[in-house]
Amino acid sequence: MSRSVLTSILLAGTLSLVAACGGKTPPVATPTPPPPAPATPVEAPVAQPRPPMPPVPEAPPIIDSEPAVVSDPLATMDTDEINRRAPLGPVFFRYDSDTVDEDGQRVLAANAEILKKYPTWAITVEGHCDERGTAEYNLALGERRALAAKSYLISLGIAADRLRTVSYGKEFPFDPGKTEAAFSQNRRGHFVVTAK
Amino acid sequence: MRATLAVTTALLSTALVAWTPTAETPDVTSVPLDGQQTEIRATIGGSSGRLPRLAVPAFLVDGGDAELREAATTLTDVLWKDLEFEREFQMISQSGAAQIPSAPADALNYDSWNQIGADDVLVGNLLRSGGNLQLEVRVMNVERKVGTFGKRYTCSLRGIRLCAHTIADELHKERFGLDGVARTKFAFASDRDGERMTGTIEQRSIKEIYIADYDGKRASRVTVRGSLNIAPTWAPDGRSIAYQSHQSGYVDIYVQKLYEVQTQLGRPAKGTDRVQNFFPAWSPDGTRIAFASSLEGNWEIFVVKVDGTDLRRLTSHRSADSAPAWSPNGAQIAFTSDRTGTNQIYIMSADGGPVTQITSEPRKADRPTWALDFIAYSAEVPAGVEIKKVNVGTRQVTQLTNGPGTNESPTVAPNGRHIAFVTTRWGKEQIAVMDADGNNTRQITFTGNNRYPRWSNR
Repeated sequence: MSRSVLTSILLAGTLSLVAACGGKTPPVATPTPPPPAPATPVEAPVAQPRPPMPPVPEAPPIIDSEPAVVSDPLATMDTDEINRRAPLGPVFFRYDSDTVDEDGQRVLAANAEILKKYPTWAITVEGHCDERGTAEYNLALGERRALAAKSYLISLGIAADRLRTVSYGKEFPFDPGKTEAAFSQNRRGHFVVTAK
Repeated sequence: MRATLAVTTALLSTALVAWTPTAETPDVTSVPLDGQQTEIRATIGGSSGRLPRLAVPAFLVDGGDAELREAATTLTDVLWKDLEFEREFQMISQSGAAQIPSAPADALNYDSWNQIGADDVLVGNLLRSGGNLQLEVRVMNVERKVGTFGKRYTCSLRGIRLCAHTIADELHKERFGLDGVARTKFAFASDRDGERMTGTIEQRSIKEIYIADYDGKRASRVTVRGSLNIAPTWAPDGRSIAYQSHQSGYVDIYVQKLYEVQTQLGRPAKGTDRVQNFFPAWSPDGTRIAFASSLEGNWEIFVVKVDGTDLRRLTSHRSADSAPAWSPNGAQIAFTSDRTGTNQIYIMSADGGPVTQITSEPRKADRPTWALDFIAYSAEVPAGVEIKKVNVGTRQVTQLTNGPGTNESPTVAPNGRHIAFVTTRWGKEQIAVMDADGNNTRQITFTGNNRYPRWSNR
């Protein structure tokens, strides 16, 4: 398991990050269509099927233009430092699936709260796959995973223009092992803060 | 935030000019030797239909300094392997040929060559000529004691392998009418230099595009982008490549000349927040590039002129269409689609229109590559991925690999006789070459991970 994952689990605290593997084969292979974007990034989404909300670890989202409280370490870090802390947890996927399951929804809900707290952050959602299947197929699958995570964040009120996606297919595994434990680490949407 | 992104993009763009073109090997020139017959193809060679047995004894060296002797050894070794590769000759082992002292063509000991079963003996004579090397090559028929091939080659010392490749191609052409592939090349993506990707805190090795001779030798890196660069494709003249780069943060398709300095690379398909572009395939006539793109939502197949104009969408389906490959005559395009629920290979006109399903794999088919009358592809099987080929006319499927490891990303030699692919059977991902019937597999890359091999057209 990579250091960033460990860090994110420590940071997220109350989040339950379970590498979701096994289980039923998902029936749908297409990404969730993004709902209409909210009028403003800070407006609460309307009529969305909200997943169970985890406790918010920090203060409520700061939605005015005042700088964040100075005691907040993330507010003063550069993006590399922020990414080493991995405040945005990864979303894991089942084999050959781009469906964000309940565990993934909880992670994304927490990520959305953090993105609302830091409204200037822009992020890239990287789609990754395990090594099974062809390189070409996995680049497509990785893109679907990144788009699924992006769509879900948009449905939680995050502005689309803060979210880039890129697929790395099976090119950059987080765990080079050949076991299911390694594979489950490599099937993920991975979040990188690119600007603040 | 916007300003930061713009500055970053500008910096990356200026970095494009910082690469050096690949040094081009000087041409090898050849002239026929006097008194050589070249039109006796039908009357020579092995009797009773078997392959002619060819010996390639060590080349003679006039004046024999160490450098010249080393060049002669390299020439003999490379030529022997080139001639063995096409399997038109049954090659007599070099240790077998070494039992008989080398001699000039007019003093061959035909009885000795006859005794070890040689039908033909290739005799080479190497000498210095100005700053270059001059090599006389003759193929002598043992039974009839006559020359059947004779040419004088002018080569550079640096281009000694190309010299051998040229001899092999010309001999195959004259003797069998065969277009050998000894002078063809591979483009591929590799992390062999072990450079770490910047702009991320993760430990990621960048992948850059490399080219190498058909035997994996003389590999040279042709991109310096510090990112993920994969899926190269050759211009039919072999002097440019296009490839997919993730450097900008989006997925772009770049066009790059190999042997000329460029201030700006071509970018016929440019990524944006919403558009990613994958798997370029250069058309056989050199004018267009087919690729998969999310330009209009989900992945469809597009073609665009090499200069980025005249973009056209060829497919329109709510499923993902990907991995285009041109038919050898450029009239059709094969691609993958999951429109029936699993990835299968389809073909259509190069102008789009109705599609025909070609494969019915129980799992998935991917990465078609089209040569002669067949399409080779990657097929998912319970144990991993294996290479198969399907006859486009009869739809007969032949499985060409059966482990070990996973085997994918086939690319077919321009003469249709060989298939290169990526295999994990030796640990990391390496490129292997096999005959088009699945036999005679050999490893041609040895360092780093190597993926997306593409055989040049010439």
